Amino acid sequence: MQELDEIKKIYGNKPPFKVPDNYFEQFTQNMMSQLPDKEARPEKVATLWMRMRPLIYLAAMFAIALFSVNWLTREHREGSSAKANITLTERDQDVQSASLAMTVDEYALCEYLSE
Amino acid sequence: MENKEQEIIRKLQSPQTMRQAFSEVVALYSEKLYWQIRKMVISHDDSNDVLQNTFIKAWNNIEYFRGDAKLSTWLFRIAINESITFLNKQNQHATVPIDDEDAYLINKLESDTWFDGDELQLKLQKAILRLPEKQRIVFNMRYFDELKYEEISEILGTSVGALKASYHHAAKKIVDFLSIED
Repeated sequence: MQELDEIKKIYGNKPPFKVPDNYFEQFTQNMMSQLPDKEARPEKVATLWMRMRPLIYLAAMFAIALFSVNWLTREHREGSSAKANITLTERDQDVQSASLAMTVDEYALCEYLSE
Repeated sequence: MENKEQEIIRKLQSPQTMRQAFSEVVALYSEKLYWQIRKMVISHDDSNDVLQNTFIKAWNNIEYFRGDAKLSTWLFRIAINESITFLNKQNQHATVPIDDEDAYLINKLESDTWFDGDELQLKLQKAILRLPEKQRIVFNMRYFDELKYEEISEILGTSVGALKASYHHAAKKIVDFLSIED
């Protein structure tokens, strides 16, 4: 920007403003007298609950995990025993049918069909 | 300067030395911030108000200054935001509707008893005041303060490329305006 350099030479680059006498010297003192005091932040006192909280959370997590495992395995166990009962009953029915079939002779069967 | 700033930051983090350290901050940066604000809001009285608001805001939020950016950058950022907020408020509360901000600021410039320039400088200031707000900020930082683009980028949070483009447009408008006036 050659033209701008020319402008800088002609117009200069010093801001054409002034301030009241001793303005900056007095400013700091004036400014500091206006600033509010910082409220002292009370130091946090660790209560028993605050200190025990991590341990309690950990214990609660273990309890939940233990309960979940116990509940899931119990359901699995109950499911297996119910299935076993069903199988046994089916097998019992098969045995009964087989023994019944063995007691029916050919004559009885013809008699039954002719009725 | 860097070491001085580090030392102040360290003292600002302790409640016992915070107030003393902040008075050092005010002493160290008030003049630089003042001139930055003055170039934006023009009048001395308004600049004084904005500068005070800048330090009050910095004081109220000093706990949140983590030292990620330089203290001076953080303060400049607050000062620029405060200046923009101030100008927007002035526009909203004007008794006579202000059609354009530049006319309002030129009026302020001409009536300011603390203006210390000659005819040429008044003409240059008028040309600068005709620029859009963002271009005016960038132009002032480059032309008067001779800040590097990287420094401006940190303060304004704008990319160096965008700043270069902004300064280029601003400079062209200034040159055009002054050529027409001549």
